[in-house]
Amino acid sequence: MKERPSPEPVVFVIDDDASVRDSLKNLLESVGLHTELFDSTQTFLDFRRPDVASCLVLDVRLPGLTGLEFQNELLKLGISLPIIFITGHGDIPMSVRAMKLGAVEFLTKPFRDQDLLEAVRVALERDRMRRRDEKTLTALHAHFESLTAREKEVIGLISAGLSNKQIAADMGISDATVKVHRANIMRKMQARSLADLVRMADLLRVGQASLVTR
Amino acid sequence: MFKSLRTSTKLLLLCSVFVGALVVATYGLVAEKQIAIHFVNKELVGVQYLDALRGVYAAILAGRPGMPSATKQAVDRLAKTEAESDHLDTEALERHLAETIDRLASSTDDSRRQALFVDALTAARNLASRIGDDSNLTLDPDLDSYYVQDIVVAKMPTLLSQIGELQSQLAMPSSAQPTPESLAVRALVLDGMIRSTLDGIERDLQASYRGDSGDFLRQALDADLANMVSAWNAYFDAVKAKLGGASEAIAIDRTYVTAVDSAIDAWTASLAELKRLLNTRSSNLLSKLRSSLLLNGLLAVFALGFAIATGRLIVQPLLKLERLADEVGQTKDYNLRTDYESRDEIGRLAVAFNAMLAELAAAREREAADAARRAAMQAELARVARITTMGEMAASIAHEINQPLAAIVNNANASLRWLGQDPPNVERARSVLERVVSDGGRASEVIGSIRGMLEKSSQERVQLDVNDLIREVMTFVRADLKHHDITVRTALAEDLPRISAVRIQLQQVLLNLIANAAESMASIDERVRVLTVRSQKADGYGIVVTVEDTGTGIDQTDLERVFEAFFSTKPEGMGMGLSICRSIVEAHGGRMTVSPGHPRGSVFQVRLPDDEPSQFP
Repeated sequence: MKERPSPEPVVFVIDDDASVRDSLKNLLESVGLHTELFDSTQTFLDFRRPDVASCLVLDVRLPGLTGLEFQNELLKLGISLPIIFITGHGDIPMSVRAMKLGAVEFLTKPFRDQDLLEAVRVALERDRMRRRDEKTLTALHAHFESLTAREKEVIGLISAGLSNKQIAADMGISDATVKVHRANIMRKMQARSLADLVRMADLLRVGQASLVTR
Repeated sequence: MFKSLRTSTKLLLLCSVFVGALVVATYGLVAEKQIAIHFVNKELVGVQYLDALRGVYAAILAGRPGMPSATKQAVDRLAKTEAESDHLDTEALERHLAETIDRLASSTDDSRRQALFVDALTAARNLASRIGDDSNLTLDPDLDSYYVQDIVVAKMPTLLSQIGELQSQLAMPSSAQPTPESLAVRALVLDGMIRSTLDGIERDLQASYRGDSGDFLRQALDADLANMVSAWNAYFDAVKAKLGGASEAIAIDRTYVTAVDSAIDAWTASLAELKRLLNTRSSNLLSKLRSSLLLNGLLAVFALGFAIATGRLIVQPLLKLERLADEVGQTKDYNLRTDYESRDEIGRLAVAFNAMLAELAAAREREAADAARRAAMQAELARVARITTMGEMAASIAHEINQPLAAIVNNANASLRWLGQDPPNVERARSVLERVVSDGGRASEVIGSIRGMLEKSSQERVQLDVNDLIREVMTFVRADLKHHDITVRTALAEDLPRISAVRIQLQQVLLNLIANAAESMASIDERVRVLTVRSQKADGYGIVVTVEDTGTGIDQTDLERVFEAFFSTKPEGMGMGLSICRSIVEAHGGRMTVSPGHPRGSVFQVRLPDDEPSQFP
């Protein structure tokens, strides 16, 4: 993943009906949102998407496969885009299934512009959050990988709630050595407090991992 | 063969066998009785014969010279009796006796007479013995009659011969006597023999009394016998006196006559008793025979009656059942019942027959109810199928209108926003509004086409061009087919004859065929999905519409059945679609067929007659 952030979000629209597609672009651009249009899922998949916060406005009726099937396919491909479904004639079971799979909204055509724009706003916000969490986790991983094998062992025991003395007894080393390890860990992981460190370990699932490797 | 005989005939055969057996048994019985009766009758002839012979004995022993008429009468009667009893072999003996008597009568010489007298007695005794043998008397099986016949046949003639001989010895002149001593010795011997014969008679009588349960014999004979014994004792006394010297010939002759008369009387009585016994036996036999015959006859009549009654009891109810079965078969009235009641097999058959009729009636009712339910269900399913088709059409229409409508709303909103900006982006708003106008036009076109179609949708038959119909239907389904990635090809022949049809029904048929085709191609990924709709002139009259797909096709075994109601190859299919399609097509006088596609898929053909009536074969 690229570290360079791109501030302007993008809305992808997939609809096989040209006039609906264009009208969506008109609407979204009227509130200043950058919009990319696709007439099929395949052209969307072929498109090289920019690394920015983005969401997908997806027609349920698509040539080849339904929007719901495409939602499944995206999950399988590991593409976690927030999706807003639009449909000519939606029904409740279909919308429930879509929402369960993580859709942001399920709109029936014709819809109110506020509803779509609100859904797009929520979707982009959700994607932004996701991207930030993803970045944090990536940084944590990088920090964790910079630890020595011993330090990784110590962080596991810390997250399991053991005191310095217990850790020393457990590992057969002196209290002083444990303290040195601990100071190194706090510095490398850029943790501001013990609680911060334990939260990081939880995110990384270090506790379980080190217990397994022991 | 026996199996196919009528029951009455079988029973009659059975009865005949029984009666036959009865007749054979009866014949045996009659024959046996007849033998016994014949035996008795022969004995009676013998008794008759002996009766005649008794007269001859009486005549000989009377010992009068010449041939007195009494003697002649007795001999004649004997000859007559002999002639009548032709199965007794006595002719020679009888003639010999008659000749001897004849000679005795004509002889004048005294000693010669004495010899002839003894000869005649001997001849008579031989005759009696022969009569006894030939007339079965000596073979008599009963205790009473056996001993009485012994007296009658053997003892009496012997006794009379012996007394005759003794008397002739005594009557012989002294000159003819060898010595007085020899006369005494002879007399003594004869006396002993006579006494022994008398004892024999006594024993026989005692024996016959034992066999006589009613004691009639003793009553009839005892007196005569006592008489005879006393007479004979008197005679013996006279003989002893004469041999002692004092000659009193008169006393001897008198006692002799008394003795002979008493013996003849006893003989007569014995004969009468024997006759009575034999007659009794004969009549007993006859009455037994009669009662046996009566009993057998009654049995035979009873058997016949029984057979006829059984036959009626079996055959009549069976015929009645048969008639009832025929009636039920003709009138189809399963509420008929037989009223025959009995606890036998036929009664049970009747009950079973009624039960079967009841079950048949119930089964028919169930069948009728089933048929009604099935018809109702079919009608309901047809309605549901029509509604479903309408629903699909409605969904299709909604989609067609929603698309431009959504675009219009979006564009209108966008232009409002452009105009609401500071400063307003009028140029952008104008270009977006132009899109609103064109989308509005598109929506109006769609609505216009729908109205046009709905206006034509009545249940009346109208003249129509099948190509127009196909085009209309295609406008509805085209978008849907495109969504399913199906390529549509149409090949519509020009100058087709117009057909007379209910528009909405034919639309339903086409929509159904197209929906099926699309569904059969949904799972096809390895080749292109192509739907071909074709119209052309039929070989004979009318037109043919063909709907062809490149889908999964139909198994050869199912080809025959796809038009059946409730048959479906689809997991959720009701199996009504094609069935209804076919009924619609047939209601239009057409035919619907299916065949496998080349290389894959299936081909449905709808043949419809053109407007010329009754030209489609």
